[in-house]
Amino acid sequence: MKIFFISLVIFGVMSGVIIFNSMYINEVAAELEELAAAVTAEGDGISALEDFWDRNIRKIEFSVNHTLVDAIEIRIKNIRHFSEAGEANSLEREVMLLLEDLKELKRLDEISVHNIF
Amino acid sequence: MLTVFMRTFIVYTTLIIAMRLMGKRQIGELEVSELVTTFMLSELATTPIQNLDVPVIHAVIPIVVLLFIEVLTSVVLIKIPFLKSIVSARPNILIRDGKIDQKELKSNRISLEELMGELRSGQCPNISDVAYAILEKNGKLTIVPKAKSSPPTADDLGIKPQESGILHLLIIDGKICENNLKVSGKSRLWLEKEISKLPCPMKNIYFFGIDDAERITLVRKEGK
Repeated sequence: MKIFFISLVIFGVMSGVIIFNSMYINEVAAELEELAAAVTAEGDGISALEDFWDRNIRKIEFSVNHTLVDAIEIRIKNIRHFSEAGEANSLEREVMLLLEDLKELKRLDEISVHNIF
Repeated sequence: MLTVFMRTFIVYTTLIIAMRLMGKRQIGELEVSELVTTFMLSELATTPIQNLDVPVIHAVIPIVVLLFIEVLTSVVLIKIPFLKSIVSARPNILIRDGKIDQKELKSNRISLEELMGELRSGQCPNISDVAYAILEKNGKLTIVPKAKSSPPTADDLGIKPQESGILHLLIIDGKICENNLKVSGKSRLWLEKEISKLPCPMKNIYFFGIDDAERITLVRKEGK
């Protein structure tokens, strides 16, 4: 029974970590969506988006597939690049793609038929 | 490179803890559920080591879930024996009193040649000499020979052999094994006294042991 209780504790701790991680990812993704939506063609709001991403990337990488993390990272870099180059259309397209990636980030942490199967 | 090293270390440590908690059976004789778990564990463990895009936690979580299911199942099966017949196989008697149960043999998909091979390796090649041949849950065949075909025991021969028990290795490679010393019921003082009587210093001892009949075995290191 000792082993059972040890396993139960480990399982309980892990379940707690999973729940809190899921809540955290959803919160961060929602905040990033807001920040991304606030980016203007003139480049306003990009610094806030970058700062928020830099503050959270290490924690996100802990549980999210690195391919998706890299994709978001590249999109944010592209937004900065297109803003500095004055390419408003490309910037807008990157923002839209970033929003799609952020939706995917949230979707991966949902319990759904699509995710399970 | 450092990432792969760290990932290997984390996954290996998690696996070792999980396997230790699952018990010794996981290492040796496996039941169907245990075999499935072991296969899954090996697959899960290698994925994040080989694919750097997969976070280590994606291997750790399933390992912990499997550990929990395995331990929970074993506890539930002890509490509710009825479920054991559903989850795990039951032992089947293939030979009873020298007669093969052909139905059982067929239902377990064992050919006569395989059965005969098992009997031969069990030192009981003649079916008529077998009292019971039981196919155990782990797939091994237990052969119980009839009394007339069993090797005579000390009781049968009317002799009283001295119990030697097991050999407790108290010194291995010049170092005292505290745990073995405790198990053997001897004190360190006793051991030190015995060592002082030996013809060689402790550092030159390959192994020094004592059995339950107090017989001492000493092997020196080669060339010492």
